[in-house]
Amino acid sequence: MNNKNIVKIENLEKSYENGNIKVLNGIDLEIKEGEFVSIIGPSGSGKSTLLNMLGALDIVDNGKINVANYDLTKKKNLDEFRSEKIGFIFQLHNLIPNISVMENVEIPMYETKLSGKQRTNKALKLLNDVGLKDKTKTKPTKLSGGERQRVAIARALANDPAIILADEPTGSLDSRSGKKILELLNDLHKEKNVTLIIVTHDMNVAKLADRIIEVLDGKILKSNDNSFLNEDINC
Amino acid sequence: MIGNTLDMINSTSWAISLLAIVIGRIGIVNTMIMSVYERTREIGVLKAVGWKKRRILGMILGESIVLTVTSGIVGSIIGVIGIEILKTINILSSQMVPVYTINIFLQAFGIAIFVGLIGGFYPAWRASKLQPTEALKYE
Ligand SMILES: Nc1ncnc2c1ncn2[C@@H]1O[C@H](COP(=O)(O)OP(=O)(O)O)[C@@H](O)[C@H]1O
Ligand SMILES: [Mg+2]
Repeated sequence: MNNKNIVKIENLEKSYENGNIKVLNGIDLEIKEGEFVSIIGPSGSGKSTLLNMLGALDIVDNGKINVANYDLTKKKNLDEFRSEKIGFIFQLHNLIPNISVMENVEIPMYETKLSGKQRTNKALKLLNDVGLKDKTKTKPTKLSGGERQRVAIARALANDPAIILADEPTGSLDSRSGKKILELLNDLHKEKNVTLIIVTHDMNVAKLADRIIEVLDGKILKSNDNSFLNEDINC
Repeated sequence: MIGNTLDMINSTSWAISLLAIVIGRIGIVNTMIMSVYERTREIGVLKAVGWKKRRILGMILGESIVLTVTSGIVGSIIGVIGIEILKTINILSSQMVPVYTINIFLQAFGIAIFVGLIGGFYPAWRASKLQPTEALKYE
């Protein structure tokens, strides 16, 4: 972690249904390069919406949002931003069911200069890193939940992103596979110094982070350094 | 008199062909629209990992062409087989002589590809304009 901010958000607002459902009500947030942050809060508080804004998966209504030197309010080059800067991990993995694990990992690399051979080699290496070397030809539908999530991690890493965004990555897993996924993500963060932002409602997951951000009703309630944690939050 | 009757047969068979074409095209467009629509979520995934609109459209159009050409070939073969069966069981009257001209096949293919592209392009274009989160909401 260094002192440069990779995320700068000011007074961010987002609503749905033509402004009738206000989801984010003025978020202010800064995240440092290489930081591991967890976002917690009750269901419906706007955690996923915030994460989607960070990854430019949806457009903002008002406020400022700058991520990895891209101004996301500009609505320009968002595809390039997603491709080069972000690796997204969804709760339900969102793998493409009718193509192989290998092809799923290669998909993000089509927007890069890599040749077919280089894509394949890189996908192989990533799948090896997540312990799925012998499943490369398998279809995602034939995998367990934990294995699918590992494929999703390999896919998220395909273009060496600066930031990994994970929306409840262990939310639909049993505790053992969940633990393995978290170890993988934690190792990644340590080894590659990627910025890691995890949305979760599991305090055990949140505690692994350098900092915990609590969201309530579309606002940031508090942002705690992990050291105060045990007195502060009871989940 | 005889000329009149022939004219009538001609225009009737022309009308039947036209009907077949229209029904066939509606079928193709509908199939393409449905198959692309069902993949809205997949398009959302591609957008989320950074695919450009152009690449998504290119992929869908490429697949549409493969699909329509394949169906065109299969359709033509079935058509020829059907007519040959009718011929062998002597159901066609002596005045009806089936002819296959290269033109008919070319026309059929041309129209099929054109219509397939339209049917594929429209929903793909719509889906590629959605925000990734919107596309990912589809079941
Ligand atoms: N696309 C959408 N259209 C309408 N309402 C939405 C949409 N996305 C989220 N919401 C609403 O916004 C609120 C916050 O959602 P979300 O960010 O998913 O919360 P969390 O991830 O904290 O559970 C919820 O009330 C949800 O129903
Ligand atoms: Mg959520």
